[in-house]
Amino acid sequence: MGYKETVRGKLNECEQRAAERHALWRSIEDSFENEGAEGMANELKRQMAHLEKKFDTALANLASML
Amino acid sequence: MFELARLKVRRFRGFVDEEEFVFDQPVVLLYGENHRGKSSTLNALEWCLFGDQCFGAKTGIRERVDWEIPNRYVPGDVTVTAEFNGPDGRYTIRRDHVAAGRRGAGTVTVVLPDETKLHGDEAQHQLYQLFRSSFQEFMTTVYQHQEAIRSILTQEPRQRNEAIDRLLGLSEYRELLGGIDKAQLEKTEKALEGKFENLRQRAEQSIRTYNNLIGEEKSKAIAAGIPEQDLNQQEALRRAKEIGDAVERLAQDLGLADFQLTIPQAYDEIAEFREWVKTEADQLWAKAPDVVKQENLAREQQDLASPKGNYESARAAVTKAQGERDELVREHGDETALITIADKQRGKTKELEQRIRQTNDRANLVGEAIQYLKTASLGGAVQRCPLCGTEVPDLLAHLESEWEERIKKEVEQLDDQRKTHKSELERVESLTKELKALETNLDATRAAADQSVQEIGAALGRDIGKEEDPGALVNARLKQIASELEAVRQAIEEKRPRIGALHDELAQLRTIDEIVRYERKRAAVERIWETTEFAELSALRDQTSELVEDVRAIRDSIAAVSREEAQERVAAAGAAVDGYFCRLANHPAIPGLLMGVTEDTRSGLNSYVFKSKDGTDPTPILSQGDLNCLALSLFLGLAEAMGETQPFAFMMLDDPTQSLGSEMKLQLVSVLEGIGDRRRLIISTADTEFKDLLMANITKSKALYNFLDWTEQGGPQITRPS
Repeated sequence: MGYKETVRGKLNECEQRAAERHALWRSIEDSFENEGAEGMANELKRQMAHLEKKFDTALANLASML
Repeated sequence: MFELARLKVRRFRGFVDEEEFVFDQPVVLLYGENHRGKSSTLNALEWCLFGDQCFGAKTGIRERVDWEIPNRYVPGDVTVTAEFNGPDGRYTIRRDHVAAGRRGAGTVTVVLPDETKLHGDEAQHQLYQLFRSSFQEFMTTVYQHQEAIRSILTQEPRQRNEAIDRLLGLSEYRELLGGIDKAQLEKTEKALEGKFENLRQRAEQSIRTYNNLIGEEKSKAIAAGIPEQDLNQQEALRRAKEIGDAVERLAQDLGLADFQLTIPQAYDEIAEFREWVKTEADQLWAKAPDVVKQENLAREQQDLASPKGNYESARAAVTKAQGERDELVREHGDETALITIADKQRGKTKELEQRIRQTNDRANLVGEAIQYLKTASLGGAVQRCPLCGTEVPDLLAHLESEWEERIKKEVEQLDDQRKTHKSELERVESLTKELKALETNLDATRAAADQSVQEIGAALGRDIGKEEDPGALVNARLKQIASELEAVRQAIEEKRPRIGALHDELAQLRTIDEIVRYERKRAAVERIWETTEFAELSALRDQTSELVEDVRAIRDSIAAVSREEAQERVAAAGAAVDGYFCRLANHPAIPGLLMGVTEDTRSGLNSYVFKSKDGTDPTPILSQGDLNCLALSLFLGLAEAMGETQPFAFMMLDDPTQSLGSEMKLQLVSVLEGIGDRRRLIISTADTEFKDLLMANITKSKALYNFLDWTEQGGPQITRPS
């Protein structure tokens, strides 16, 4: 059994946010498979940056109310 | 199980023309100096079987990160062909890589014993079906990489743990964990939390600032006599209406009938109303007839000041010029008198000059007569006077001297007189010139005075007759203006309190307005946590935390399975590893080696613990050779643990004796002799001593490939002695 299946099996042991974590793991294993650890780190950074951008926009909206 | 029978390599890395290796003996040695192509031969088989799985960062092998498949010196299509003898016949696996591109998986072809050819995905699937082995398993149980030994030869625990993870085939987990750590999501989450906290603090600061501003404005309001209960929107609207009414009344009183005003009906209109009233009130005031008249009079007063000053200055200049001219005439006479004096002096000078010339002429005549007498017989030493006949020595010389003295004196007297008259003439001519200049100046000042009179006329708006006094006319008008200005000033002063009161009312309205506005802003900030924008921000905070938490959970899962697999493999291979280590290292202070796996509490990565069977920690006494033995023991132990499940009937060792001493090399040969009973061995080495030991001590038949040289254009030069 390869690392993908092994980790997936481990993730199954925890029911909390299972669907989200499996989806996230798929994006991690895909980016790792295609671009290695660096590409996988970039994929996670991209996902975080997406949230960060929206967060900053919402924050700027609130800041303008002060 | 599958035996490797033959390997053909063309254009792979350092290879140029096709080289063929035949593995027809139980032991095949690849021997030669470093950089001759030995490792590339083994790598070629690996690439043939696993394609792009065997290079790149995910392998955990630093040397494989920028691995180049094609020969960089002699371009061309890469082909590696491996022939295996399987249970049911010969299998041929061929992997090709076209010249374009430096890296890549290439295309794979599998030829089955019945000559069926499979390509692409079908061939790839067939490979997996045949060997059921991953690159990681191949690397840990079939092909001992020289890098695996090199990296374990370190005393730094983190690097050694990484090397053992690789030996156990767990590099992917370690790479995954490293990638997750590199993303630094928790750091970003912390930064976002910092920004959120900053917003919260700014909001609190904002509320404090508005409280201060409201307090200050309320103090001002109370000081201005505004009751505290009036500091609200309704009162602001009521006051705005009062101000509007007052402005309208003022406009009517000022005679401005066309004035129109809009009274605010809602609080939000007050700020604009205030600005409008402030501007309009000033404009109303500016348009009031008394104010306009005051401005006109002031302007006329200012317009007269300049001509009046000019006129007075011009008059003073005329008086001064006239005085200077009159004084000169009084002292020296007018121009006619001065001309008469000059003419007289000029005549006298000429007369004296005439007399000087006549005197000089007579002197010349007498001088010539004396010269004549000197030459006409009167030139002897004793001469006689022509008048008395007396003999006189040097009579003519005496007469000449006396005559010259007399003439000289006479001419000098005449010249003195001439100089006196000439000097007087010059003085008179200078006075005449001075008089003319004074008269010219006098004319100029009179012209300026006339000009200033015209200016006064223009300022007064009338002609000024010759019989009139311009200065008096100006003074009379200025007096009249002053009187009218005083009257207007009194009229304005009577109305000024109304405009002043209007401004006071506006100031109070502004104060109430400011307080109400600050209170509204403060309320808006206080309600910020109830807005949809804040709800959105909170949701994003939650999503961020969930992402970090999910990644953390995945990270924990990866670390856990990595550790579980490590424990399983160590447990399965532990006895074999111990056995091999004891044989290879033959360490007198380490009777046996126990290996365990724990979690590095800081990084969550696998941490390997070694204990001697006597309970002591062997790590501090492990030499480089011992670590080399440990790496070999792990590989050989894991390979042994595979037992009959191992699909490959051969083992490849690449440079296994990097730090081994002679005794350890001999032990390794002994171990390999045993393994050779079960699996064929392909051993690559640059170590002559080890090669000789193998050749001398391995009892099975051996084939030797000598890697003699390597050139860019020719590739490796390989021979196989018969």
